[in-house]
Amino acid sequence: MVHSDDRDVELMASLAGGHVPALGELVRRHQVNALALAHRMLGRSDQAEDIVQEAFLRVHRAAKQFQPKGKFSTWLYRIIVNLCRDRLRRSRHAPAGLDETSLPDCQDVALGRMEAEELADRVRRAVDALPKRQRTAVILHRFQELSHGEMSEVTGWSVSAIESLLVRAYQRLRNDLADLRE
Amino acid sequence: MAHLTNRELLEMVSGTSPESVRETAAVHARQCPHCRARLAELSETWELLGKWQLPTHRPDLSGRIVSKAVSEAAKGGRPQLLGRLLAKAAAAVLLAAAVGYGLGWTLRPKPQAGTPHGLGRTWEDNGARALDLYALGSSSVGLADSLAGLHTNAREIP
Repeated sequence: MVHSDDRDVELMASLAGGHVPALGELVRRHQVNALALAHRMLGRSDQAEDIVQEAFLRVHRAAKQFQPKGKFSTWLYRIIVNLCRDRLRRSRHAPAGLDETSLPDCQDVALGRMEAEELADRVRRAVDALPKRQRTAVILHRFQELSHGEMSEVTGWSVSAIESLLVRAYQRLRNDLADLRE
Repeated sequence: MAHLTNRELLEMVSGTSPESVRETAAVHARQCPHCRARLAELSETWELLGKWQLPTHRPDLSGRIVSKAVSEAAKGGRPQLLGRLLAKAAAAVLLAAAVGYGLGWTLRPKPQAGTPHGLGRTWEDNGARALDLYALGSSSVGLADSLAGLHTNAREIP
């Protein structure tokens, strides 16, 4: 059985050799997590799709330079985080508000589901309110489930800086969401 | 008793710590109220964050990304080649101009000993310089002007 990371390396080698369908398989293997990362960074699913598309096109352009020292996913997330940072910097404001696709339909949705979506929205806003670096650290740690070393590769920050950011971020989130704790 | 470090706490709550480290940390947390409380707080926040679930719509981007990549690759071949050729041509022109300028500077007429620079040149020198300036215009008007200049220069030289 081929290890997941080995398969990515094979696909990148194939892509570097000009076999473009390998890119399609890479997209299918990683798009769910890639979209989730971009969506949480930007707050909008349509912008997330644009970012992920651009990220994979950059993967295609740089395929010949890819060195399989680290995981492909870590490299991909690095591209996505940088693209999201650029997009947020250009737009000069915080991530978008409520994503229209997550708004509940009051006529059809059961009360439980509405409460779940309101809870999700509270959490989302608390994360969005974090300082930029803390926010990025929490998204990569909690939602992308990266190790500290992988986060360091994605962001370029030291492991000790990441740990410090996470501790402060989680403390602040605990305070901001105090009323939601049981 | 040394407390658990931030790294150990974060790795325990995220489940990324190595097995041996996890075991040791768990034993410590059972015995240390301070670390047990910190771990409990972090775990609670961790669980709460898990409530932020994204909409379930999951598009498949593979088709459109591959199409775009193919289209980029097709467009990117010819312009890149043309760009490289133009760059080489521009470099060759610059090099020729630099060599020409360097040669001209090296071969310029030297001022005669004892005279300030620029005086004491013969009309041939001035004529040659005039021709350099005007002959490049490669027109009969330019050539006529340079011949007129020769005559003027000859008259002005003391």
